[in-house]
Amino acid sequence: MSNAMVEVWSYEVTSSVASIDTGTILGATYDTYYFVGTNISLQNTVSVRLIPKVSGSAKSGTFGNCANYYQLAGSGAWGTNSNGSYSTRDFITHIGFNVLSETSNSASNAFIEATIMNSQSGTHNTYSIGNSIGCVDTTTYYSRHHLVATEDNTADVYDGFVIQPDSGNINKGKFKIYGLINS
Amino acid sequence: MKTREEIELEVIEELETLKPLYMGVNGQAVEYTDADYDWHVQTRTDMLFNEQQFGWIAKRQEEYGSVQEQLDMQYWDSVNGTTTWQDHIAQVKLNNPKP
Repeated sequence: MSNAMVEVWSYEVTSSVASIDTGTILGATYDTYYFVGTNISLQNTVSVRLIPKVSGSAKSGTFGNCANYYQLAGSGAWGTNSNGSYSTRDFITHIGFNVLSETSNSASNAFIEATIMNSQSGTHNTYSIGNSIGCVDTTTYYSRHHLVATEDNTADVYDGFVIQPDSGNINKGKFKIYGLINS
Repeated sequence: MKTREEIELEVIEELETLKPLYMGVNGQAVEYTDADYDWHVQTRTDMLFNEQQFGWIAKRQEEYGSVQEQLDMQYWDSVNGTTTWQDHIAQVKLNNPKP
């Protein structure tokens, strides 16, 4: 049971930042990584993106596919957001879809998580599943649960991530990455 | 509809109003490097261009509402002889036109 889940990186936002760079903290020691963010507040009501880094640089352009669903806690109704290959910018993203801004709801402390698989393989694509909650709709007062599955359609080997809202700053939040399974 | 190059120019102009941007690194908030600013321009341009090209799909999906809600509209339309569902779908398409 030793080393079942090992923290490899953490960052607490104490002064607003536009993005967070994990540095090169991923490696062959672990097959699977778990990302978690708690008590997140954003400047704008937007999604939070978890963008892979390869050879020390954050990826840009189109390189993946995304299936993204949300559920309103009050009604249980499911909807979809940004599915399909057209949303390739959203790889491992929208995990915090529509995290409300602090001005929209001062109590909007969102929770987001994602499990990233195959990121260290140079022959297989990388996949992830993610969840988020705490995204309160100020009109209906429903919390909004998001579930997202993504794939990077390249075999890039990741060495880190950049965490970035679609626009504006991250005003608050604690972020951590854990290595889950020893290679 | 804007070209990708036109959107990129708008992003560059917008960025000038946003500077300085800060990146959280090793527990510190440090100003973006030139490379970070270049990356910001590329990723934001990609995002806005994709939204222009394909954002209408997601917006329509969301505004249509659930299948249950639409079936309920259709049931009451059949009972009352109204066109609520048809009007709703038409309005969503009108609100979110294909580019």
